Amino acid sequence: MTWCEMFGWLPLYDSLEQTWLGSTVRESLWLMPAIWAVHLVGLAAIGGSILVVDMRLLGAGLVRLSPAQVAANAKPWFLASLALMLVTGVLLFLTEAVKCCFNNSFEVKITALILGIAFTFAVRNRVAARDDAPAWLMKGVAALSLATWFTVAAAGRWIGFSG
Amino acid sequence: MYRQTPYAPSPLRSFAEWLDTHAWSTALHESLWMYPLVNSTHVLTVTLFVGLLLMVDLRLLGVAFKETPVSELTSRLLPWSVAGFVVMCASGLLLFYAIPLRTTHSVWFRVKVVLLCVGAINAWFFHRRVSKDRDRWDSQPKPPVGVRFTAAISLLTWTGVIVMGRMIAYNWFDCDRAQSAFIVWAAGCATQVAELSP
Amino acid sequence: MKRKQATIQRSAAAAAIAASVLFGVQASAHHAFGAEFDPNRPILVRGPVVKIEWTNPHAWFHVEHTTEDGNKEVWMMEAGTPNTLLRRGIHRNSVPIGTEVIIDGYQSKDLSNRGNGRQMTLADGETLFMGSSGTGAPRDGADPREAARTEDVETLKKAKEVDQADEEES
Repeated sequence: MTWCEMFGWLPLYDSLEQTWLGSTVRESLWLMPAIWAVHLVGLAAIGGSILVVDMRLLGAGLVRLSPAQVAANAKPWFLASLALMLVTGVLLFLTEAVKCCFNNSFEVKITALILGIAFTFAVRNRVAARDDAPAWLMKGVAALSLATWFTVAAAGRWIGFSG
Repeated sequence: MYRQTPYAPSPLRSFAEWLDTHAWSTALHESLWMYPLVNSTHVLTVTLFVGLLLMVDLRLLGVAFKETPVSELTSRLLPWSVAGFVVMCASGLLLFYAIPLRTTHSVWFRVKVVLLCVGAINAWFFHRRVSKDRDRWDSQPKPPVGVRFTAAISLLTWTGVIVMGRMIAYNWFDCDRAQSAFIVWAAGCATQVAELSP
Repeated sequence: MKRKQATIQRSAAAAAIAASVLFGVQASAHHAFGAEFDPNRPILVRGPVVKIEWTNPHAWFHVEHTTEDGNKEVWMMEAGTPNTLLRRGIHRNSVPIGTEVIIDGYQSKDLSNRGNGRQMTLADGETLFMGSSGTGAPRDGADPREAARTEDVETLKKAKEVDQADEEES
């Protein structure tokens, strides 16, 4: 049972699927494949920009740089790829919103995505920005960040497998 | 009336047909959990392989980590990237093993393999040739044009590999559909050319 | 041979393009509706299941459909993954070869005998969603666009009546 079913959001999801944008992308021969491809390239980019910071917080990767330096360098690429993922992700959602209404993986993904964005901006980026944070805090924050974003990606892939 | 001319399969085709007879290939293709898990691993590991490689390439292009020596990024990040690449290859081979015939004749897959080779040659060229005088530009915020060029090739190639990998899913150029002569050639479709008999 | 416009509208031309017989038919994968299927070509396939490919990332149901003028043609209808189908109550033992089914869905854009399966109705009236992409997938069969598909439902009812009449005769 999904939240969409429980709270009766189906009419809303259905109207989203019926929008001009949703129908156009869904019925086009090449738009969905193209958007999918961009979404996956974006996955690589956002993954790299998250990994490089969280690895540093865990004491791996660019250890000669301070966490703040790594975070500052990765930030514009994280923001750009996040924007790319959100735009392509919304388009993909519009093409099969009704299916998503009954898909647990979709709701897990969206929940983890909201948590991930909130945690990244409210906690993780702040911890990374101050170089004097205790090691346990840095590691804990990085582990939480990685776990959350992994859930976003894995649940996202699983939408298609759990139809 | 149709008359079918004899058909001799190519070695590649024979290999794919042989793989297709494997019980494990069928089992993976029809599995409830293994195929989705292997596929997910393949997709998610791209963050490690291409994602971290992107950070290195951005440094080589002179648009990120400008204050950090190039060697610092290559030595600290590339091992992780290579680890991701190994996992991608292993899971990718399993995905091929599950669906050998269709994949062998997929134009997208063939282009992907070509791009993989281009990426490998480019990586070899970077490490063997371009990096020879690295001490000279290791700390430059913006490395010389040749270095930036190989980084751009790397980004374009691996982006292409991702896109081609995704496109394998679509049946536009599958051999079991009517295709142009070019696609039949490019996909190596095993044609039994049927001619109208006189 | 001439074909009438039957339950299934399609161009015979595509089928006739058999000039070069290609083989190695291994069911294709796909994750986009419009890339392969035409939402403006709803189809209804009825008949015995002659073959099922329980494959990832999509399973394929081969159904022998009899057209109005008595021609038999095999249609390949795409479904979700084996995992998806299992969740919806469709597995090897539930649909043995020979099972009479009615599958509604959408025809392939290349006008071949392929479709994107939306739902499968078994002889006992049980309706199962096939978990294919792009066509919505309610669990309880209450598709919001069901009202717009009354034509299909009418055809389906008729088909069942014909089936029952056949059984009574025999």
